[in-house]
Amino acid sequence: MKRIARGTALTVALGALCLLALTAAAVGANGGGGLGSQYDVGKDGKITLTVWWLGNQEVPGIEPWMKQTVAKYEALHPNVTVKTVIEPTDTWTATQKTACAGKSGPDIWYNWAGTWSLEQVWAGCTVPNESVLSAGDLGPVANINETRWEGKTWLYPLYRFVYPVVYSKTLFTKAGLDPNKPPQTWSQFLAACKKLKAAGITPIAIGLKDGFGGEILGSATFQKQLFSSYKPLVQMVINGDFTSPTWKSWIQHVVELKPYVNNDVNSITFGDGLARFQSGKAAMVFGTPGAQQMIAAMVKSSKEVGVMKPPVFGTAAYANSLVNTGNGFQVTSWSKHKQAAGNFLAFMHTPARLKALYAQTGIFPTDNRWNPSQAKSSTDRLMLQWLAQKNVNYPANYYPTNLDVNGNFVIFQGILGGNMTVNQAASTYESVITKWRKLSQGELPNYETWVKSVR
Amino acid sequence: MKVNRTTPWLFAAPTLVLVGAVFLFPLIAVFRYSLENVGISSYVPTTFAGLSNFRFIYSDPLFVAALENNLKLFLCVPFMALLSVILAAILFDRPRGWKVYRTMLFLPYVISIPVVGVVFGYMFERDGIINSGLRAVGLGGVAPDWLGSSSWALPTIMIVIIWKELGFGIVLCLARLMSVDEHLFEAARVDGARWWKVLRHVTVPQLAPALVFYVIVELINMLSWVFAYVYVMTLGGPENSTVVSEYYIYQAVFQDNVIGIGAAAGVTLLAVVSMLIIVRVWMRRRFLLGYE
Repeated sequence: MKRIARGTALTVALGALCLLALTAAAVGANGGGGLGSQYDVGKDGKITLTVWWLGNQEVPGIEPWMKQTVAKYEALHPNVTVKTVIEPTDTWTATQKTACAGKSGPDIWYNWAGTWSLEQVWAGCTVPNESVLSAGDLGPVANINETRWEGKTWLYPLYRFVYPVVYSKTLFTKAGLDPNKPPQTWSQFLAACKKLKAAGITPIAIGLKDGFGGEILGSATFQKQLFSSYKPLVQMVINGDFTSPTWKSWIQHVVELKPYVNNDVNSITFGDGLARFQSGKAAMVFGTPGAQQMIAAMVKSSKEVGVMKPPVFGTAAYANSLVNTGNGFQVTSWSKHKQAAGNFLAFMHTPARLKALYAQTGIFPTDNRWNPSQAKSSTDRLMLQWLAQKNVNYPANYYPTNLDVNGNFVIFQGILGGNMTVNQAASTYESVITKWRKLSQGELPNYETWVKSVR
Repeated sequence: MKVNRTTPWLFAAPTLVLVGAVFLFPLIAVFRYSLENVGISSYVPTTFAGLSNFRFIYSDPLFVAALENNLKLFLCVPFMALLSVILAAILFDRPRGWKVYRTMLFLPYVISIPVVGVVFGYMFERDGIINSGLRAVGLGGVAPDWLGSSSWALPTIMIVIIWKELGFGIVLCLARLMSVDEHLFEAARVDGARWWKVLRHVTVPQLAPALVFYVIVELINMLSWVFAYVYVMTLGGPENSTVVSEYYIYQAVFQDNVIGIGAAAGVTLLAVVSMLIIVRVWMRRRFLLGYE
């Protein structure tokens, strides 16, 4: 009995020592402070944090906000210098991959949600939020789950892109439509398009030359209507059939849209399409990142503009919703100042910075510490109300970029700008995914683990 | 003085090492990658693939279409060669203001491709300046959607390539003609040869070395130097109708993360370009040494 007691005591003592050592190691790893907002950056000495991001290309007007944020942060932490570098959007993914291959680059980089972020995670380029931010920093962020994988989250979203249909009330009135009662169902929408066309107005302006229009339209308006959760979509990527009647059902609606879009969709860019709407040459435009700023600019020039949710044809839970996605930042795996990087990210989410973000750019912060009552316009309030009802994310964030670039880009160009049929479009998706599965056998297991985390 | 046989190698060694590092290492790396499923991290490890990457690309309709598009671009070369010869011959006769014409014709060659691509991208829009012009003169019915139609996009890129690359051929031919003995032309004229006959029997044979060089260089360009045109003007669209092999490689490596596939396509492209270089060397030895 005595011997047992001595052995037990020894075990307990050893256990306690191990625990102490582990605790010391953990404390040492984050410099003695907590994580994110609780981390004491002062202990790091003189350091420079480098941030690669896309600036105004993503959110017009965000660069002055970032400059101000950096200035305030540096004033608060004189030992830290934050260097921000704007990268071109066109080559952004390639730039990230090159940096990752060489394991050198910024401490923090901007990213989109879903696969855009996770592909960098699977390449070992970034660390999970949970290793650099506290639970208190992560909890209030609405879109954090878009990158949940293996029990962790991998992108710290700052703001939300929303994808409404924006319409000109003036042109609606001109065509005899009620500008305050936009169409809600698909059949109402087609009827409205028909009326607009009969009145000599181009119902919808869109540019597909650079492909993104296909992604935005396909993802935020059509594909989401098939789902009540994106788990089945990720499962489709793994082993689903993209020629199934269900998948084809949304493509049929794209074909129905063809008579009502501008006749030069493939020779103008997405931006050109938006400009056409802004200049009053078309009645509607399918939502885009930065829709709020576009609306604000139009209202400022005395144009009457409204927003609507994409017209509903599906019966799934996501059909009647406004799609949104949270974009933000990741801390890179090679950063020598990961904890300080987490602290800077947390600073961007302080209520004062979030308030300034909305005030200066009009973009919606994706953080409950921002009070939506600050919304200025009726369109913003309407969109925030829809988002509060249902937080539906962007489906293109749940499949490989290959399916986007060689699927969405191609089939929208083919249908709206060419003569592609529904069957040809579905076969295109199927051949792209078959090719991807064959080539990406190393990545498939990541999707198989991801499907368990998707909500 | 007797020189040790190893001494020259010692002197050359630093340069050889440098050249090896700059050229040989990347080449070997590309060959190695082409035989691997290149992993990107511990989540996706590298495995040996043998020839499966090559088998994949040769059975991939997109790569085959990309190579076919490169071959279609070859059609630009005879046009460029023909126009270069004719325009160089005209300039060689030194018409009034020929130096201005020469500068104007060479100018497109020095403008960067992205600038050219953006400008022509706007000009060739369905409602762009070219179609507006056609409509203004009553030819609206034949105004196509140049870059927006899958059947017109590649020919439109070809027009832009010819416009841009022609200046190089003209200057090359003109420089060659200026080094030809003037007596050859005088003798032909004294014998009663008119402009076309002089062109056919004197100018063209004298231009042969420059022309062969130009044709081979441009063929290589059509295979491995057209990415920027496609990237800026169409991004491979519409419906992938303008994807060329370089764009395929770019997509494989940077968009799809399949480096092995991109490397296999790169090795294939390198093999084709190497064959063209061999043809150029062979032709030079076989036919042109007398002219040079």
